[in-house]
Amino acid sequence: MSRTNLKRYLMLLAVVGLVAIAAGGSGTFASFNAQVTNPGNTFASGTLFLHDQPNGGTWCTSESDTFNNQGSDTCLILFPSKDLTAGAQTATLDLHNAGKIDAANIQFKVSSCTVDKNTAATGSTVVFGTDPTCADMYITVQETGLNYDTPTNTDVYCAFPTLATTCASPSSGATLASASSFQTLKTTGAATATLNQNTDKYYVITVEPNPTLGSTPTTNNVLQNRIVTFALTWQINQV
Amino acid sequence: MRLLKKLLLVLTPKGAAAFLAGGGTFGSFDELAAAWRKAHKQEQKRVAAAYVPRDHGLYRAKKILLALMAVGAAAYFMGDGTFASFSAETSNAGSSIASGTLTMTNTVNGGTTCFSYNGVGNVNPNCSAVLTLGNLAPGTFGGTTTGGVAVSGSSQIVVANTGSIDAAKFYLYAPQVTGTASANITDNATASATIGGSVAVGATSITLASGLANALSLGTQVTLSGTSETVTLTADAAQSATTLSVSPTQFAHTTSNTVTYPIPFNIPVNALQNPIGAGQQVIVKQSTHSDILYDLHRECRRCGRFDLDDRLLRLAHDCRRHHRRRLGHQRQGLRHDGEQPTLRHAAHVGPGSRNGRTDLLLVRQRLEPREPARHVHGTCLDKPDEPNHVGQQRQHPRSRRLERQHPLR
Repeated sequence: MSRTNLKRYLMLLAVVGLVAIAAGGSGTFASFNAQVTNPGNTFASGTLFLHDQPNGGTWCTSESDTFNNQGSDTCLILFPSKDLTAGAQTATLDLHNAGKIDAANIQFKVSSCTVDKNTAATGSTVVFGTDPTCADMYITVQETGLNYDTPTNTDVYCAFPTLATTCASPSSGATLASASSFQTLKTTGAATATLNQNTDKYYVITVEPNPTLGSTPTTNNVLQNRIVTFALTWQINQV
Repeated sequence: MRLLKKLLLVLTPKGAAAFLAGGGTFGSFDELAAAWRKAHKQEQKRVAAAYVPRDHGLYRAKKILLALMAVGAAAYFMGDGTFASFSAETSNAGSSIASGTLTMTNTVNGGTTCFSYNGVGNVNPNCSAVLTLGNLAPGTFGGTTTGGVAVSGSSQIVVANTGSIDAAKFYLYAPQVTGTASANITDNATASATIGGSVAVGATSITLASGLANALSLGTQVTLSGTSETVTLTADAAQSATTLSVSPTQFAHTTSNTVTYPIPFNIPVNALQNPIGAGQQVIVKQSTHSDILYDLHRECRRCGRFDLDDRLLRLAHDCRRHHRRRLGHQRQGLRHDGEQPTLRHAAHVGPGSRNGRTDLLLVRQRLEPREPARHVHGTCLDKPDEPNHVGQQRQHPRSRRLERQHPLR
């Protein structure tokens, strides 16, 4: 750097200093202030965890899932290989709100319902008659007492689908096909079922094939060598 | 002064930009001014390039984004203030309700396997025939197999449950059996019974003096002697029954008339095709009675003395007188006979016997409950053989009602 350039820089710095003094300096260098502080402000949320226990077995916890929606692989099966030809089949379910927030409603839905040949178990591909569908599989959800009974003097109710204390026999009004979207469970007085924190609801789920299937000598083998598979999803919601 | 002007130019935004773009070094004020002008032109080009016409898509997108922003702002200031809503969910997958299979096969004599599921509704009526037999006769049966294959009279069936479910029950039944009776088994034999009371015109019931030899079913036609009127039974009649319910009679009938009714089967004693065991019941034809009577009659005529072990004939000493009495009592016995004779023995008289006939030795069951069985023991003592007069003896008017009750020797 030449002496000329150095001189220019020094001059420039001097000018800047003069301007700063002229613009900012008011001539008074003593300054007063006052201040208060409200510490400890927080924004927090509670928890809403759903646990389910099928048939008195291992508990399944929603919070085990990354998004609080427990995957299908870790919850126990509600209907493990039931007999299709034995009429109505039942399973018990304990739903528990393990969170700190009351749930405003309880919903369930049937998903992944299929009717196939039971070849894997029987080794046979032979079936008879018209293939049944998930619409031929009727379902009811009965709210019960602690022991999965239906005492008449307590607040239990047919949670789905009929509005009565005790569910009627499964019928075509509620099928595995028609419950493919979330259905809100009911409780006493046909009110929406809720699940407060640290409380349980007990349900008996009944699934029954259409009784008219195979009811005549010529169609009594329609249900032979069939397998109906499905998933049941339970959901509680804050609002 | 020029230096001061240069410093003021640098303090302007564009001048500062030109100053920095030039690396902070410029030799003269003119050089800085030139750099300022260059930067100014570049700014004008950039602004011109960023111009977007109103009908351009970006312009519409801009409007939409502005609208969304306005909605969001409105929601923020007008909402309840809570936007987080929690939910929890569990899912029980893999539920299944399944059924097994119940199918069966049958294979006749190692032939083609018949599958139940090949028929509609798991019922296959078109499997192989089990037996195809011909030229059979009563009492014959060929039940032999060779290598699992029936030779005659029997078949081998392999029934398999090919399903996945155990069968709790296994039924075997014949939906229908059809057969044709041979003419030499059924010969439309009949029997008769005397009417036990007078029958008026239009009567629907007939009383018999003795019970039926065999049961008769509804619809059976019977014939009344005298007018040969045929009436139809309107109800089943059991064996030994003495009352017949019939269609209304067209004629009156007296006790001298008889009712003739069919006998289901008649086995001719002279044409037995198979052994008959003791205790089996047979219907005795009238001709057989005559033959047996002939033997008895002839023996009596040969006897100077005839020992009888019959309380009704115990006092008889003369063969002829005894025979007359005996005939009379035996007729009475036959009239009281309401039962079928029971075959006790079957024997052949043997070559050289009269008429060369085949004979059956019959012992009739007790004629009446109070009457002991009669036993006739004949012994020829003092008279030589007399020539046989078969034809003559068979014409004896009383012989048709008699029956021998002791095995002849």
